[in-house]
Amino acid sequence: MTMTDAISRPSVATQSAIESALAQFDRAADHLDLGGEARAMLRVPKREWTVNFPVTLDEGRVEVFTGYRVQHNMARGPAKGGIRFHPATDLDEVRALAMWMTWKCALVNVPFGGAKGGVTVDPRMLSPDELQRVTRRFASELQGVIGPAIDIPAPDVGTNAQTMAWIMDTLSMHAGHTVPGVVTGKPVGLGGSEGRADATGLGVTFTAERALAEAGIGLDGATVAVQGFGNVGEAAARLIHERGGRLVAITDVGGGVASPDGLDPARLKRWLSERGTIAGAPDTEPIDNAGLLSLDVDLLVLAALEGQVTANNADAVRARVIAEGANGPVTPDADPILADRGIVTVPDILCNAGGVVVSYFEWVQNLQSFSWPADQVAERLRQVINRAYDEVSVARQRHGIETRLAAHAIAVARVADASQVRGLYP
Amino acid sequence: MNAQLDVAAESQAPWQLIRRPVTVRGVPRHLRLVRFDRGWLASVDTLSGPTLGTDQSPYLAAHRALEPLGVGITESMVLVGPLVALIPPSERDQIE
Repeated sequence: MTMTDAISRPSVATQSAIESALAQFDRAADHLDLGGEARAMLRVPKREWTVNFPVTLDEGRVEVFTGYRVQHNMARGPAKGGIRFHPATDLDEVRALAMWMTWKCALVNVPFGGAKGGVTVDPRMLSPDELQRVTRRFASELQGVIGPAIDIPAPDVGTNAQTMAWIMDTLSMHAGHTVPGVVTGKPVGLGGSEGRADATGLGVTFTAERALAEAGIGLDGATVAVQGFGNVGEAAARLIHERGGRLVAITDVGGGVASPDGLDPARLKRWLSERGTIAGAPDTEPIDNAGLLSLDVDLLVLAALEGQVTANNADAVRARVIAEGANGPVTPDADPILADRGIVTVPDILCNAGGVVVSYFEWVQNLQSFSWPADQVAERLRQVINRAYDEVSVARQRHGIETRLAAHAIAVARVADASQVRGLYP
Repeated sequence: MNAQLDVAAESQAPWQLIRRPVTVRGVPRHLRLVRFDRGWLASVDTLSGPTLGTDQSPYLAAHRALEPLGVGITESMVLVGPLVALIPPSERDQIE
């Protein structure tokens, strides 16, 4: 297990994730002139759990871990969202991420609500056996909270297909039969979907390519910097490289590498697997996050954690297009600074939605006990992402607003509409 | 797209009417949006009579009115377009 997409948070964060999420929601609600009752319902999570659970470590000592699961909204269907293992994870962060999942699922029009979970732990500090025990005990604590018709977790920062396999197995043992649809992002051999591993990166590539095209720039030959080289960043870098993009800089948790002639993501991945970081890879120059963010490039892919571009450093960004592969990497107070400078941002709920779209495909395949070939998954993903991109573009132009507000307005309107039509119980 | 804003004749106008020409599935129609203190009413004429939608949000109200014609929420938002610009500046403070 490697820590995925782990970049440290800025030393002076201007807005926390939950502040960012609420600010974005409020702007969309204002634009829609949404009523006070709808705002009150959508502004808070529907349900949230905090669990403290003991796990025996390899040395025999017992440590108590804290985990969270937040279901923000389920008006449009079962809740959907990843589980992250990260030392900085807390309830407010999970609340923000759950809210973003609600909007993301609504924007791409898959029949899910939004959820998120996490355990406050650094998975790099645990052995594989310890990690399995933490995962299984956390999954056990979520018995009845998650399920194919209730809430379906998926991999996130610090978790992967193996984590999902342990969760599925634990819940299946409790149920007395195999329940493949309880999680997505599983190994293909356990009912995972072909193409799921690259799905988020592929969605980032699709949307970035379209945003670049609108700016008159072809991806083939474009200069690209990528922050994060985990689940999302590595796939995006590889897929952009395959389409002719020139990767001039990439950073990860251990440092960064740059080369004006272009980096080979396959070589970096091999180096990462040997050293645990891409830093120090042969034939590269070192670069840090501040240096990467200020590079004069056509495309900047932010595929690490939230709060990376803030009002404190937005003036230094020189990219033409920013693709938000991570959730909330640009804070709301940085948005107008970037927009004033003509920098186009592809918002997270559109840019990185490829993962949840293929998760939806996986869930559907599991419910049908059927599997689709990889090319069919990729083509359906392209159709869904392109449709969402088109809708955001039309709304942005018609309403004269920026892309992020257009995306959130569409998403919030869909969820508010579903809530209103369902009505209040009792 | 042209739009027309009518305000009730009374000095303390309790409502505003916005007539929005829209084209739905190739058929030109007039979407009527009426703003009251507590929300919006939307309506469009169809062969089977006028539709009716109400909500505190003009976009959700318009969606209710346009849904019988097969128009989704996103398309409704696009058809209605921006609304704040139609309200006289002196009255914008009253919108919220």
